[in-house]
Amino acid sequence: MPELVLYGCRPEPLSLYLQALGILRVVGAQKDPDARGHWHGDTFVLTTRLDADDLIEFFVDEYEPTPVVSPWNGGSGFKAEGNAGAVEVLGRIEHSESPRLATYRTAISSAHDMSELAQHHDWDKETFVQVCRNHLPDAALEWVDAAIVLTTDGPAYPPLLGSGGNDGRLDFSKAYMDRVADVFCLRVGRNEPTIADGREWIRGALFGDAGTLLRDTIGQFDPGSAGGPNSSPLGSAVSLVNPWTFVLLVEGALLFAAGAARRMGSQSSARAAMPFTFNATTAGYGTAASEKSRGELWAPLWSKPASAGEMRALMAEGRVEWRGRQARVALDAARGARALGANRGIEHFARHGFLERNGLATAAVSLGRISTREESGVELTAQLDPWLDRVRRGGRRPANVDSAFGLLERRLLEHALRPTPALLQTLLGAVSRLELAIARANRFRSEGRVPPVFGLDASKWLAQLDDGSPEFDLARSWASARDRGATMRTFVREVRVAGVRHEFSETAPIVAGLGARSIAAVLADVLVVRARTAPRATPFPRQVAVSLDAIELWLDADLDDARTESLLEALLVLDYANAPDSVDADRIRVGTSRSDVATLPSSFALLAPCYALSFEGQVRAEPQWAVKLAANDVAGTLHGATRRLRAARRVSMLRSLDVVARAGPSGPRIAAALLARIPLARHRQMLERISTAPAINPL
Amino acid sequence: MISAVGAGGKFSEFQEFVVAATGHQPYEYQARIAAYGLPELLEVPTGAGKTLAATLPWLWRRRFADHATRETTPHWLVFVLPMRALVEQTENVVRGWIKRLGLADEVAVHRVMGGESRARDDWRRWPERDAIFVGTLDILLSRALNRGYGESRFVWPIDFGLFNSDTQWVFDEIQLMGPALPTSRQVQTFRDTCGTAAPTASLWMSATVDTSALATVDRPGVESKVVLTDEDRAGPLLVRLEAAKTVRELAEAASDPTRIAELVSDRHRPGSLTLAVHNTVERAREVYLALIKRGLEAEIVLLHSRFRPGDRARQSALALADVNPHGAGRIVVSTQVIEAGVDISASVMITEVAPWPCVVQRAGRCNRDGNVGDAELWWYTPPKSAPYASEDIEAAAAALRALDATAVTPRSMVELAVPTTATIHPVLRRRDLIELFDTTADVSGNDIDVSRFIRASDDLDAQIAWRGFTGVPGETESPPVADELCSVAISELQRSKLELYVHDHLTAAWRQVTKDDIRPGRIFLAPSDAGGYTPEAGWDPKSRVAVSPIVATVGGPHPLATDDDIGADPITFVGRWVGLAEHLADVEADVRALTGGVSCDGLDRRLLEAAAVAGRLHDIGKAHPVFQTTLESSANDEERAAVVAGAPWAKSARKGGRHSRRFFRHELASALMLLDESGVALLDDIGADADLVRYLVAAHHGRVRLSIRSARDEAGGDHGGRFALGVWDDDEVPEIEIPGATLGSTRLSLSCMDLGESSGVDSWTARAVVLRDRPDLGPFRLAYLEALVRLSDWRASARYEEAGSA
Repeated sequence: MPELVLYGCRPEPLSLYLQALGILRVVGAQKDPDARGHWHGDTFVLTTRLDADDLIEFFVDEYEPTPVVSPWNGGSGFKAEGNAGAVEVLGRIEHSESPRLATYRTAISSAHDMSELAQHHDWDKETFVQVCRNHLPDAALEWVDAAIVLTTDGPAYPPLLGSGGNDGRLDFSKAYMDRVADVFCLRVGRNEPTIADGREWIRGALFGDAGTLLRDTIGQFDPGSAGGPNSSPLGSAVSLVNPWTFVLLVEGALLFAAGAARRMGSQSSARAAMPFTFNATTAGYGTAASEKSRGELWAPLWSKPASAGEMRALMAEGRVEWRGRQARVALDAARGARALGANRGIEHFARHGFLERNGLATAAVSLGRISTREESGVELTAQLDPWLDRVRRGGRRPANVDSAFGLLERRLLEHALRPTPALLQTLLGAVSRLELAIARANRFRSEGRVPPVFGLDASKWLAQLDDGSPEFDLARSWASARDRGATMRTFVREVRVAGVRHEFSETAPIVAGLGARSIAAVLADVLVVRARTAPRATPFPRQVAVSLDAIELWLDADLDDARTESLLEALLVLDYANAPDSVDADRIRVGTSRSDVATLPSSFALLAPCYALSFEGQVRAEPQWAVKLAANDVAGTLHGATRRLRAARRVSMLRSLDVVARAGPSGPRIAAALLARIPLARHRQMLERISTAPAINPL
Repeated sequence: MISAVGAGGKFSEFQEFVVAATGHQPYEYQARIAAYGLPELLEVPTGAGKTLAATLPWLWRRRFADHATRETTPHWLVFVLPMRALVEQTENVVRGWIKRLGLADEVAVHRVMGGESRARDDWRRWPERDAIFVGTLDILLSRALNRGYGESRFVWPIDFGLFNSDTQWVFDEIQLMGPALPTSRQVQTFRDTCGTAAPTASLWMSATVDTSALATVDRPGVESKVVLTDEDRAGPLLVRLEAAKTVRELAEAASDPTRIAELVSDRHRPGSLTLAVHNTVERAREVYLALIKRGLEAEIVLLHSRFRPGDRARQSALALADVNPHGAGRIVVSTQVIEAGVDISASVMITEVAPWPCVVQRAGRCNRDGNVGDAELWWYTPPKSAPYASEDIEAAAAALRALDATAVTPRSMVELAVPTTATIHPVLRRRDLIELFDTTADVSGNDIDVSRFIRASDDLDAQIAWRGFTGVPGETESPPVADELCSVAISELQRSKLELYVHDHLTAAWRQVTKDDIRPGRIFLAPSDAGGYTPEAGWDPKSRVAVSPIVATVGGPHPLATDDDIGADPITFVGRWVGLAEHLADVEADVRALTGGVSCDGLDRRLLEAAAVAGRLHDIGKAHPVFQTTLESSANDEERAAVVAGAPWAKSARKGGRHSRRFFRHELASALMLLDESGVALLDDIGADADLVRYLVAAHHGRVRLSIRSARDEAGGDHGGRFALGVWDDDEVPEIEIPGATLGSTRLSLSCMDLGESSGVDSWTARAVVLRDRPDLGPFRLAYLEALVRLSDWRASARYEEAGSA
């Protein structure tokens, strides 16, 4: 079948996306049951037996608008004392004679009946909506289901249609009727639209040809063309609107029918469920103070010709529980929605956030695209589930564990919605803090038999976490340090190695104060302990290597220490058993590092090889050096090291050691740097530099 | 007089038939129903034989009337009652009739309630047999909505298919149905408009019915209605209908239970039955305990809904037993449970005012059989109107006051127009039904909620089981079964200090409840030594006496059970090796036999042929190497050579290991094979119904229907293409022999999972949606065909199993 490219439709703004769905839905139901639609890049393609002129003629001559009535809203035209304009336009449709508006007239008449009953019985809004859903003709139900979901917990409003079909003072059904009146030329007068106008507008809506636009509001769907925040009064910002676009976007919005859903067998009560719609409060969005998010919608961008019936099935399957009690539920849904997208060959969702601006009117703001294909890290977070289940099974959580748990759930959801390395790092930090809170909640930990975090495979996580920053580079090297029976985690956290996992040690950490003392001081103490307990294997036999750039920045105190520290805390909870092999990493890093051994502080260049190359039996660092470094006695350490190196005939004579010590980095900072892994080749270069230099350059 | 037109069997006349069943002549209106068919509405007073009128005329028309009538009478009678207590009673009565008629082997009687053993589910295998189902409305109506309570998601479509075709539904005591009333009206309309495989009908019946409550948006009126005529008002029925009692107001409106107990015992007449009816269980219990304290000679029995099933049955028996006219008599303290179907006749009734229809029902239990000359109906206004609306209480009180000192009869009370407030329930709409056809959960793992269409949300009960444990129940503590459970109102539970535990589905462990956990429908465990229950008083929050736990019988259902494992496939292991071609031929033959045995005039021949072909092809996906490897790995050393040589197999002799690919579903492979070139060629003859065959093949385990989705946590290995349910893009299935043809090797493509058509070929969902919406199919007929294919598969497999074990 021929394909028509509808240049008037686009994935963003939301209005032009919904218009595309509206066209597909209406043409499929009223003209060509075989009509299919798909997105080709950013354009919408309609596969139909109609040609462009047929399509225009269909809308102008045959199209029957879906009845949209919201008698429960004051401004919808059903209450005489309400909006006069709404009453007027409702009357026009009601008293129209076009057979194409017959369904609409039936719906209006039925809604009038409901309205009278509601007044007579003095029903609350919920009851009124329920009666409408019970009695309105089938054709008018799609609107009700898209605008409001009734559950035992009260009504819920899909943000796509504001608060039950209105946004602030703008009633969508009234606006729709106005536009229907325009395209049906129900108002007669000099300035009123004519059939010729209508033809021009539909051409514009379908094919993007610019025409004369109406001045009115389109509301939240198209903030780009809506008047800016200064164009008060609120909710009626004047903008230029193509009446057909508004009619069709409402037709398209009807595909997003929501419903009440519950988990079978779980005895939970029913909750509102909305297609691809995520609640902002659960996600804990941080937006500007003047803006309040009401949630977001993922608009599927599919690339194969699909019918409206298929879209309807997709929307039903893509329903997400609204205001789930637990962020966990929302997280599952976000994962589920992506997985469903991937299953259906939908490569992208266009994200639209509903932001409440200046208190009342809502704007749909494009938030970019979500890919269902690329590795996002969302699959990674599933590795957390076994541990989180153990935490959940632990029983009643004390307050600080509970708040750490809640924070982590929110982080999980944030990350699922926007899988970036930064959010994954924050998430992992929350994991680490939850573990810490559990470590300190003795009763909960022991009675609930909750273990430390397990099962997070560093070989999978590191790639997704890596933001290319030197802070990350360094923290990764530290956190991955390990030996049989000891890991960096066992030094600074209340855990010890138990088989392939960790268990809580029930005692204070070997080196206390991570997060409270300076990170350099903490790590210097780790070096002290390590040098004493495993002098032959100091610092650690296995760990991920760091670039010289990062080491140099650290030694020069040019890194963000707070960030490095949070990253270290976060990275501690990974399981490094399958982490990238250090040797491979060495090879890669030697080639890419910009820094040169020559620019490293001499004190470090002198000490580092003593530790690193000790494995080759050439020089052995003494446990005492670490103690001295931790106490910031750099000169003393350097003297000791020089003696060693001389004895090993590695250097002949070194002068100016005191100057070097004074001018260079602090002892703890050097000690911490010594705990990171630098490629062996670099150590050899450093050794070379020391041995050949007649004197160490004090700078 | 109705005489037999046809020679359907041993009874030539309905009268004779009823006498054989019951020992009594039928009423004239019952005979009219037998002659002209079951109406849409039956409106006769309490005690006028509604149960018989709904059952025996149907049975007569189904089995003994003329040929044409027999053919058009639905083969299943589905008798729906609002309360569990009525189910057992009705079942026993009906079973007795069937037995006396000598039809026990031909007409099965099944009880369908929550918590019934699954062993009773055998009925699904015999859809062609006549049967009567008696059950509660939540269990039966949820089946008609494709969300069968307590059933696996994968069984829903079978029940949806079977219960919506060739069935005569009967809804009794409709005044107690709440939202189920409009739902049942709408569903019948949808059956009529969407079409079913064979005609279905519904009968609604009540003694007190507000006809406006029957009107729904799609079924505004009642087409046929049967009421009593003057001919009926004769003999014993007339005595009942004219049974009078004098209305009297208790001078003091007592709120103190002790005072009420005193007033009740003052009015009790030795050698007779006195009935004290209260609006809440709490009030009934308090009055009962106060009566016990008085140490009367008369027997005191408490009867309400808050008992464990065993205790309730015993309490009912005690309440209903004949009263020794020479003894001290009996006082039954009760609640609204006596308003429906309880055959009890009191000389004196003392009742709290309730909405008028309730008062009429209660009054029906005072001098029910008309044998007491001076029966009295005493009433008073309760201290609180709850659970009823205060306007309704006031209106009823005004009506009763106007009747003071006059004698009333059931008829005179019904005829009195006393206003009641209408409750607004959610109404099931056509779009809801269409959505319910799909049984796939949404991305949050939720299903469309049907409970709002079945029970009122103010039906605020939870259930408690008492067990002998200390501390938190361990992981091995099994979920309670029906026999252990006692219903308790949420409001009472919130006030009680009872220590309760709840099963947390997220962690699969028991934990102590928090305030938020006390919600309707939940099941809790309580330690037996905490008290809160006695066998005589039922739920009694003040009791500190240890509760004796009910030892659960084995084989009970799992009230907390969620979905069966998506990968489960128990009937593959049947005790003997069955070749694939043999099994395919067997199932095709079974489908043909079954479609010949059931009524399905609403199905075009082509559709039945498609079902038979689906039977022939349903398991071809078992030729997939993953499946064959699993079966072969189950062979023992002796068998191995023969098994390898005899492949492909459909069933194995013994349980083997797991599939090498988790979640593997052979029926998805079957369907995809039929979309590949050689599969398409195989379906050439079927023409327009090829997609129906594919759908029925895919749906034959209820797992792949409108949507093909990979399982949660499913991984496609390192293969880069699409994957779902263990089937991967580009999988190859070798050539196989099928009955009457050879299917060349096929290459599977999952491109039909994608939204939209791939190279001009429609997606799976698009095809399924077209079938669902096709005028000659529609949701009910499609599900019925699904059920036929699945049942044929079950039958064939069951035969292997019987042969294997023999």
